Parts: sequence; C-alpha cells; structure tokens
Amino acid sequence: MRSYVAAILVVILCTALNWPLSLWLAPTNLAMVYLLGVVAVATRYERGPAMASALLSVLAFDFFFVPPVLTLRIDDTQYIVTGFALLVVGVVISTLATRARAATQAALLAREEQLRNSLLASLSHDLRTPLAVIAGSASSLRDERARLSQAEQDQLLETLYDEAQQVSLTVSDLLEMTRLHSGRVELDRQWYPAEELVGAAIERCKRHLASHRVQTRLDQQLPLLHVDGVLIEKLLVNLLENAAKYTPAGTLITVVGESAPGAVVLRVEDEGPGLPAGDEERVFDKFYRAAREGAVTGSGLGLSICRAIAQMHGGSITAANRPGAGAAFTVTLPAESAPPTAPP
Amino acid sequence: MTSSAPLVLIVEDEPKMRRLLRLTLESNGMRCEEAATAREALSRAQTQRPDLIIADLGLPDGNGLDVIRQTRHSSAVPILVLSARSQEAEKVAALDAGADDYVTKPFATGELLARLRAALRRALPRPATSEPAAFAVRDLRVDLVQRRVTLHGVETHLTPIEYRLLTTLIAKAGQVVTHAELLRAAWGPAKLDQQHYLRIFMAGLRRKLEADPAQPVYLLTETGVGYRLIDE
Repeated sequence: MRSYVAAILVVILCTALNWPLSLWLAPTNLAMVYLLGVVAVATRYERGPAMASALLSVLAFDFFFVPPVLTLRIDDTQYIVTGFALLVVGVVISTLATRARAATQAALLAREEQLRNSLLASLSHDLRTPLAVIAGSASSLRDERARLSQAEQDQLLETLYDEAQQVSLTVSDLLEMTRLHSGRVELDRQWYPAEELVGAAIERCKRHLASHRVQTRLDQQLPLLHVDGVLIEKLLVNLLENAAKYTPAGTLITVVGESAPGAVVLRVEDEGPGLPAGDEERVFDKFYRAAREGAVTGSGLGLSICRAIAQMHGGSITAANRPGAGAAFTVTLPAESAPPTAPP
Repeated sequence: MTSSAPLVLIVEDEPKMRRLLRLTLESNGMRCEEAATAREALSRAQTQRPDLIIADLGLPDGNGLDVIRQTRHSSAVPILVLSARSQEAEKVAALDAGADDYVTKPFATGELLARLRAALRRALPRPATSEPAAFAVRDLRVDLVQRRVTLHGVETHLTPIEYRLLTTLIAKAGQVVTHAELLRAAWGPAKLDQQHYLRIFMAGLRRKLEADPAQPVYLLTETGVGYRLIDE
C-alpha cells in the first residue's frame, strides 16, 4: 500500500516540477520528467506501483500539459503519440526493473545455496573421510592385530592420531568461522609487540613446522600493534600451517614484519610451488583448496578465517606469488598513532 | 605401583574421557580416583586427599570453577584444568579461582604429563627454612641467592623489574603465570590493567635470554592468559 502512495507522490512531484518548466519547454519534453519518475518508482518498488505511476503520469501529462490544458481532451495528434510512448516505455521499464531485481535476488539465493552445498560437500568430505579412516584403522587394530606386524600397527596408530586431529581441526575451524561471522565477537584489543604474537604463533604450530626451516625478519622499530592478540595469533597460525602444508619439507618459511605508511605489515613467505595463476583472490573463498585431488587436507576455511580476522581489525590480507618462487601472504594492519608510554 | 605413587583425582563427567585419563596416568605410575560430578569431586577431595586434581570445567551439577574455589578453601592441592581452545577468558577465570595450570583439549599425552609433572614438582614439600638456591634449565642458570643470571655460563645483566618477572616465573616454572600475577609481582596492584608494560618488559627479557626473541624457547607466550617459563 505504501508503495502505491509513493507512486502517486512521485507523479505529483513530477507534475509540480513540470508546472514551472512548462513555461519554457514543449509538452513533449515534459513527458521525459514523468519518465524519470516512473524509473525511480520501478527501481524501488514492485511492478504494480510502477505500472500505476506510468498510467498516472500519462493522465497527469494529458490533463495538465497537453492543450487544451486542464482537460483530458487531446487536440493535437502528436501528443497522442507522446502519451502512448510514455505509457509503453513506463510499462517496459517497470517490467525490466522488476525482472532485474528478481534476477539479482535469485543470484543471491543461488550463491547462498551454493555456499550451503559446498559447506555440506566439505563437511561430508572433511569429516566423513577421516572418520571412516579412524573407524577402519581402529577396527583393523581390534580385529587383525595378531596378523599385523609391529610396523603396520604403528602406522595404523599414527593414522588414527592424525585423522582425529584433522577432524578436531575442521570442527574448530567451522566453529571459529561461525563465531566470527555471527557479528557478536568483540575484539579484546591490547598493545602487543609483533614479535610476541609471531613467536606465540610459531610455538603453537611447532608440530606442523617440524620439517620446515622457520625464520623471522622483524623490523626492530615496529610500533606496538593494538589488536586482539588471540585472533591475530590464530591468523598467523593459519598462515604458517598453510605454508607448511603446501610446501615441500626442508624449505624455508619466513615471517616478515615491517612498517608501512600508517600501517604495520606482517607477511608469511614460503618457497613452495606458489599459487595457481589467477587464484590470488579466490584462495580466500570459503572451502577453496589449491590441491583439489585431496592430497592436502584441511577445512578449506583457514584463509577465509584469516581474512575475517584482518577485516575485523580494519586491515586486509592479500596473496601473491613471489618473484623468485613461492607464495607470500601479506597482512596489513592499521598502525595506531598513540603508542603507550613506557612504564616508570 | 606403590602407595608412594601420586594419587590423581580425575573430575570429568564424560566416562570415556575419564577412562582415557586413567589409562594414561596409571601407565605412567600414578594412582587415580574418579569423580563425575562437582559434589562427588568435593567429597573425594576431602576424603581421599589426592596429590593432584585434574578438572574439566563443564560438570552436570555445577560449575567447575566452584569446585576449584571450594577446594581452595581447605587445600593447596595442585589443580589442573582441562579446557577448550579459544576459551582464554575461561582459562583466566579458572586460574584466578585458584587453578594452577590448564591443558587445552584435544591434548597430546606428552603435554598432559609435562604439566602434571610440573604441578607435582611444585607441590613437593620443601625444607621450610630454605628457599631453593638456584634454578637451571638447558643453558639458563639463575642463582637465586646471589641474583646472578647466566646463559651458556656467561653472566647476563637484568634490570630489577626483569629480574622480578623472571623469579616470579621461576617460582611457578613449567606452569602458566597470568598477566595479573606478573603485573602484581613487578609493579604492585596499581598497574594491573597495564598489560602492555608487562609485554614490553617481557620483550626486553627475551632479548637478553633468547637466541631469537621471535622464536623463544625459554619464555613462552600463552596469548590471552600469560607466560610460561619452561622447566624441562
């Protein structure tokens, strides 16, 4: 109902606008102003009010501006054409606008649907596969132990442990993602030396990094970061685990910290195969995985969690291939200008 | 298994987790008692006099924090909390309530045992007259009488506040020390909300004691909770 009232108001507004204009402009041109009104209504409201505004515009145009004015009579046949064109264009525009809006909505729904589907696909792959492996390994150990060599038993146990860790990681990533997107997370901002957060992150993924060399290159003059330490540590942990996962054992992973104008930049560089060309932006999508064959496991959420955390801090994260070889993930956090004074 | 083996009270409502903990602890020479509820935990703690309590915070009949508080009224028994990742506020609350340390679930057995050992070591009765004279781990030696810190046998000069932070960590070596505890020890109760003071001084301490301050091996960070000095 409100939309019809709005449609009538728009036509009245156009008429009011045309009234003074009619002193200078030929009535045909005034029809254009009505057309603008119809477009405005069509883009905001449904098809009904848009059509109504088109029809009303024709009547108002005829009544107020087509001679003889203040009657619905039309003496000059050219205005019949103008009025008819106004009506047709109005109807077409309102139809097109409605259709475009419906298409946008459908696309949005489709995107959500796609996301839900990939979530389900990811869940079924990332939870069911390791769970099947866990159940299988455990039942082998229970039923076949006598026939298995010590080495085979050890291997099954190792698999059991790794896969259970994998499930645990996937579930906590899903929870973390849901939590971050709920909009209810409040940042617990404190002042941190970048060095402390980098060190804590490296310590936390010690196991993952065991077969890589890790080096840090932090600018001594870096300002303190005013951030939620737990979340930034999580961001760095995800980047480090990612680097460890996608690069060959023995290669170097470097964490760089440097100042930029108004910002602090943290970067994780590796010596691996780099990102597939053109995927630099897509790696941050939910459930994106560089290796699709399933050789590399993970929730597929790690980097989108990183992006969510960076953005919550008013910062950003980008990925790129390095000039030589390998990938670099760059986190830019705004540097806050009021560094705390040193204690007495 | 002898009667001198430490007795651990496992407070956990999930039977499978209890069984796992019992299996792990008994195979490492400890004795176990179990409690599935807060009420049971409190009565067992009274009657059995355990040497250590491992407590999950989520219990069916009450908050695990209450168990910690009530136990603390009557006993100094070390309490180790089982907690989930990204529950830093919960960990701090448990430590404030009187818990000695925590282990994050899912935990590796090695980590759990290291925490248990550290807690039991600290609870060992000491000769009442003498404080420990020295602390040593890997290449770090701290002479607590002469107030001398040496690394690889080379003396390192610490500022008074750095030294106070270090000895506060030494007093609980192997266990987490919260930001609040360290702030109170170094500056008194007035600066409890100034965590960045602490971070700046810890960074200074690391620069003196760690080969690479960005990859510390002695002074570990427990982000959102505090710091931990390794003891083994």
